[in-house]
Amino acid sequence: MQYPVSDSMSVMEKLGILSDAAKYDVACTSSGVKRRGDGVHMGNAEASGICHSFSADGRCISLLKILMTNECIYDCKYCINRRSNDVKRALFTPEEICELTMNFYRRNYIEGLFLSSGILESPDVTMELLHRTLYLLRNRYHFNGYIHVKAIPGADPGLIYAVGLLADRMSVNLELPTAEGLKQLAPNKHRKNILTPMRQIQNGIVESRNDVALYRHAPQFVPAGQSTQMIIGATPENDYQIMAVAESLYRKFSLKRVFYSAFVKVNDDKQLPAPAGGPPLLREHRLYQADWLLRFYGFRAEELLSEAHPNFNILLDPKCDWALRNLHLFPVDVQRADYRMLLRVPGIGVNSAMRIMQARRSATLKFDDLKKIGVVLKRALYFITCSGRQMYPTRIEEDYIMRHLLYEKERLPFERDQVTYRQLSLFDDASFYQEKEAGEWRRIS
Amino acid sequence: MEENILICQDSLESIFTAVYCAYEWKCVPERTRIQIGDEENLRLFAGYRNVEADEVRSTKVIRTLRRRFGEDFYYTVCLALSGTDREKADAVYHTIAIGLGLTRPETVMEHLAEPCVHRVFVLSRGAGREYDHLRGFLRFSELENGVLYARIKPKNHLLHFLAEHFSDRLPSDAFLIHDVGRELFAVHEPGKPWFMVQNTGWRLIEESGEEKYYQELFRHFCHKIAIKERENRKLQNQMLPLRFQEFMTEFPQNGKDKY
Repeated sequence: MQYPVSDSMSVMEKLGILSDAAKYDVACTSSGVKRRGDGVHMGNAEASGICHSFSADGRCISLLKILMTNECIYDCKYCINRRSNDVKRALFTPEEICELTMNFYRRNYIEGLFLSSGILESPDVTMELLHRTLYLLRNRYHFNGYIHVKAIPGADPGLIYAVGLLADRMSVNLELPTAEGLKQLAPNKHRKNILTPMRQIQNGIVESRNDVALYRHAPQFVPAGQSTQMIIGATPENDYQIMAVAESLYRKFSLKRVFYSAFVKVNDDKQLPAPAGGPPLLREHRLYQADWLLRFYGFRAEELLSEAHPNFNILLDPKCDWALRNLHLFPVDVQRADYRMLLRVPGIGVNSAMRIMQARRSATLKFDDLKKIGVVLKRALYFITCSGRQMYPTRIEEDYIMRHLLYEKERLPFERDQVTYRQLSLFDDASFYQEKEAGEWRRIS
Repeated sequence: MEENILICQDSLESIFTAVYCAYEWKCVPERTRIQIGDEENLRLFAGYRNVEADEVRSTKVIRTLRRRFGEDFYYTVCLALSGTDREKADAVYHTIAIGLGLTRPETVMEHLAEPCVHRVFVLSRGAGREYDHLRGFLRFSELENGVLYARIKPKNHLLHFLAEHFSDRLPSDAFLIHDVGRELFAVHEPGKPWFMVQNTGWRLIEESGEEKYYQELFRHFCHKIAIKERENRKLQNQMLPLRFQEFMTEFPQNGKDKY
């Protein structure tokens, strides 16, 4: 292939343009693969991933996140690099990318390379460019660190496979949660074209794992798994639809991660919404919280949301919200509840649930111990008992717990002389509580 | 009943020797403490004994830890002992004592309700977090002779962990990691095991010609990769505490110009 020669732009200028163009890609993780150094060449990989810096928006910088080129033959409405935009275009040569990666990695600026690209001429040409870069980096520069690369939908499966053998993680962007949204905003992309390479990568990973089990030195295909991302808030889908899509991606395509990207309006287009308060960051945050619940906490999307209740509560995180709607399951006793139930208690995470499981074998846990273990008691105290007792006498009642969880400063249930926004009832009299405090208190309705 | 207090120095070797001595002298764990440094408040009815660091004894303790408690526990203990806490040696000693009384010593870290085990857990978690941070936030700059040089100022004594990590990562590079607070250097030469030196009196030479260029490139990259609409400095500082920023290339207030 004839390599298109770019003009005499400096590397500094190119890096500026092409990292600026890549910044809306979300996945900057370097996790999922553990690889020791080979003793001669540069690089290794840690399973947990390593964050090397944090940019001014608070997002992690772990990989050198750049586009190969921001030239693009597509005209997606939401994208800054679309064909019809008049932006400065640039193109890296594979050698420039390799030099940058090696020199940044050596100074411990980055954990590896994240390479994406606009579509230059055709998906095949673009994919071949990506392949050439990765091939050079792995085989001439002998880079042994982390590489995340985008698979370009519509590219030849053989090319995608070849790239997958060089990369650690691959991702195909879903772009928008539903096919209708995609049709509306990305007229050149089709749902089917996006899902085909995703399926191919999934199958490749399974085959490669089987091969490695048989032959230890078999080549590894995308060992860190694949991910995808979608834009939130550019199309009118509700949270329930988005979670359902994410769940089916995890189930049916065995994705490692689904990333959500709050829509940032970079183009003026009549088909795009104009979000009033900037990008929907809180919504994105709630989606990530729910995403963790799906992957690590054994929740299903339809437990968190439903057709009748399609969006997340702005005020409460999804787990608290779920717990408040399922109060009949609580309180649970930390000494006896099974692991799956412990995970569902607000304030108990994966780590603290594991520690509870271990510690309770040798001791009867008290609330003090739970605090040491890392349980967030100000949230958990409404939902758990230790040796059959709650931490404080509380009501297992939705609006009571809600009110206490929402109070911005930490507030314990026995502080009762604060302002509430409920209608007064006969029993809101402070002296009434005092009388009842000694004995077991029951709500009289 | 008289208490035994064993006094040792703040080093792995010395602390492990003290643990060995506690067993050699048949001390009862409940009435025995291991203290680092000089006695502060002398106690009545307590026998003070100094312990001299001894390689043979500490190696034996390390061997027992690795064999009976497992590599994970040994790693946890090393992390916990890298901190500056005064009570760390005592907590480790009592954790070991509890572990040796169990049928399966490797499960000792599960006994979090025990105060000493919890102490070791908290210390190792703190040191582990700082190590995780520094693995990412440490910055090398290339000197004129091609050697990579990094400065750090961690709370915990993490130099050996970091040197181990970077000698696996950059086997063919010569690098120096300088712990500014402790005036210690970890030195790595290509293809050789790394080692530590103290009080070198070394004078630093100039950075290489390319170095400024790559620093500028990286600053430019960090600037461009941020999304303006999402700017959140508070989150940035939360994720990347200010004490690390001092030595980082991408933050302008760093002390690079001082030397």
